[in-house]
Amino acid sequence: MSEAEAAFLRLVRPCWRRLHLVARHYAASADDARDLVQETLLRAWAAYSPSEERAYREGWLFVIQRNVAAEWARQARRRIRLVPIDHDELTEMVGTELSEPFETLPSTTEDQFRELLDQKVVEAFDSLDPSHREVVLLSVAAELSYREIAEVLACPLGTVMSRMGRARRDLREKLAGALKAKGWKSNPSREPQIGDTR
Amino acid sequence: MTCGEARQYIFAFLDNELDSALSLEVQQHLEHCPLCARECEIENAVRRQLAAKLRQADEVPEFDESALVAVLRSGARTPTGYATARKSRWSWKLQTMGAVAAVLLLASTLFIANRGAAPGNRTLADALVNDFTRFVSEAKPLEIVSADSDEVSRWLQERTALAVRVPAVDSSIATLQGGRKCKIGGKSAAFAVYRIGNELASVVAMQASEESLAHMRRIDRDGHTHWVDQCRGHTVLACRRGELVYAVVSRLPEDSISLLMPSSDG
Repeated sequence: MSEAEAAFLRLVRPCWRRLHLVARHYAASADDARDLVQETLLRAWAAYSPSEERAYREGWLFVIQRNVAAEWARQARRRIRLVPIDHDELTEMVGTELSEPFETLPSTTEDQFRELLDQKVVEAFDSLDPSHREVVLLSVAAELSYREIAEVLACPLGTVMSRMGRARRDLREKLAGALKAKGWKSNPSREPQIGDTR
Repeated sequence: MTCGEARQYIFAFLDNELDSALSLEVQQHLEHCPLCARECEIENAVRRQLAAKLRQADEVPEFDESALVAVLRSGARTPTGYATARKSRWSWKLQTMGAVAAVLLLASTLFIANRGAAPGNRTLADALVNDFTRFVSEAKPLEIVSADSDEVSRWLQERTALAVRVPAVDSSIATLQGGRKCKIGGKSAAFAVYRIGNELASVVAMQASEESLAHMRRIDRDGHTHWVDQCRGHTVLACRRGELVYAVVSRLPEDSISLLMPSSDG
């Protein structure tokens, strides 16, 4: 293995798993997801300059991956689920305060809450607006910072923050709705259950 | 810090996106406010569970260095499989890539022949367009992401030792995206990129002689001298400022990118 290959693998190894996780959400099939990662790495390798090793960051690979996904989506060569970036989107930072005041959230035991989360969190995530879902995906699965996500999406940092805030509130609302649908009623006078351990 | 403020920052706090002072303030509030602490705990539970679900990696292939190196080398047209089961898919890909590479090689040879220049003796405009197209098509990383021309200038000055000044322009016309170091003709250069509408334009500052601009068309206008060239569908517009040559590269026409020329000496 050459020094350049070794240096490139040092960049790829820590985000290998995360590149596949994100690719699996972009691509409709596991095969397409693996192809997406392979194409990403081939393009990255073609562009890689070992003399600038220290300048490369993990986010770069995710930038390329999204560009490849966007290219495939345009060419309709693979089934790619990607939301085009709307550069006219309102980008100012919206307040990220929790939309549902804690007093109205149903009080549950921690076990009940975890059971609900286990059942509903993916469903709630999948029902998010696709552009909001992508920032959560890049944050949670790819473990990128807001700034890195802005680079991947080629959008202002404010857009990422705004989408993240809305996504988190939507998730919370959907989960609170699921709690209520299960018959767990709001009980503001009750002492907090979750957090009692603090 | 009030409960309202603390709850406003909970998402960014849990994402580690707050600066240390603000993060400490939120932390201190949570230690003294059980209701906000509960909020934080609920939010954290949602995040942990979502992370656990989204990070399930049943379909992720094992990181196999030797297989991956084989793929990288096969990308340079030495066919090998990424994994045995996927060999045929790669083989097809490599044949396609080989064919594309052959066409590109032929096209570039014809292009060079038509220009009457020998391979390896690229003009400055060629080198600049090459750097720009690689940045765009291969998503080269920006090393500083900022719309502040002073901040980008300072960053580039420190890293390239060039007295570069990134042009400050009306943000309603062109938006500075950031910058990175680059090399043009083997020499260290400063690269800044702007978005103009849906197109990108780079501004590269480098040490270069006036002779290196000789292949371009000279324009004397309003007391300033510019050089302009068209190369592979791109416009290259250059000027000298002090010791440096500044060159703008874009698919946009000259009149759309002239605003990115540094306005005066210094």
